[in-house]
Amino acid sequence: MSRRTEQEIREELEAHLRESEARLQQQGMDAESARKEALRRFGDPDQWARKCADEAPEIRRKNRSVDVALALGFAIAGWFLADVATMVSKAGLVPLDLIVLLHLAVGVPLCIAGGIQAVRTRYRTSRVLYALSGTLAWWFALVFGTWAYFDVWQAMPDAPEEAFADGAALTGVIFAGWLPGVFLMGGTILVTWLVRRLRARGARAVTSS
Amino acid sequence: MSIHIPSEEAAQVPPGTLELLILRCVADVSMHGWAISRSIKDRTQGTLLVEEGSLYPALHRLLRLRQLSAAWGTSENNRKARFYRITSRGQARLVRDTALWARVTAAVAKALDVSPNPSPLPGVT
Repeated sequence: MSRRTEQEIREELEAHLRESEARLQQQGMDAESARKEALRRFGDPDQWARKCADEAPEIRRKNRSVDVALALGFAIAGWFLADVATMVSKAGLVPLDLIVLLHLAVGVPLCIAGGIQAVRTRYRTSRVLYALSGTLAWWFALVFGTWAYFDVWQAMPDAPEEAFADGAALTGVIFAGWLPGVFLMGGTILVTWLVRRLRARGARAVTSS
Repeated sequence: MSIHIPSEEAAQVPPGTLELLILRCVADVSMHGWAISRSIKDRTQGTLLVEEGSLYPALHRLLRLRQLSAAWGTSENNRKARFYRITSRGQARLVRDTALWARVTAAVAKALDVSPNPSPLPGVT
């Protein structure tokens, strides 16, 4: 269905260009010059075709479904990978000091990826979903990491008294652990937005020159 | 008289202006994209459609909003073309937005202390 819509859009834009060419030829232009002039007046057909496709209801539905699936994927991947990191930590494969870092190695890329996708997507609801799921992936990593850290520490033969102060630490990351994630998400969104803006400005400058 | 407005400024026209003009063009008769672009260029002296292709996303948006309907046909030059026709929803929007537009432009003109038919400005040729 979406392929047929895209094909129809292409046909329609091509019909416009042919009509322009014909009119220009009627005014005395040769075929090649007429084609060039028609394209100059029309702008980039690929760009306009993409923008038209964005408006097609079936393509919008498809894009939205992909966005929802991908956003859920970030959150689920955050949960799953943080769980794997916890299992690896409890198996004694990671030094105590690196347990939280290992978990963050899972949460940070997912949070950044969520932020990038939040800027790239065209739909407002998808933006919110990506931002939420990316931040959630970070939060899972921090909570699981803290939990695993204290578990491994407590299991050590000469565990000090502080190793059993896990309740306060866990409560802290559960309630405030999302804050650094929000900052990371915000920073990623800002940087991605700026990069896209600079790129678009560069592309416009090249086109106009 | 033609008014030259740089493309950067043309992009700053109020959102929905192009859609309103499209609805106006097809209010009485169905038209294909090329004819609509010609009509808008004539009506606005080329101010809004800096690139003709910019018309099509607006046409497809209006189709999605069911304010236009479309059907393939043959143009006056015997070429395959997609013809657009206004729907009752589009008609209702045209009436509503035209009235709103008139009120807003009158209010802004009054606030800026300019008449609706200003004397030639620098840049007007």
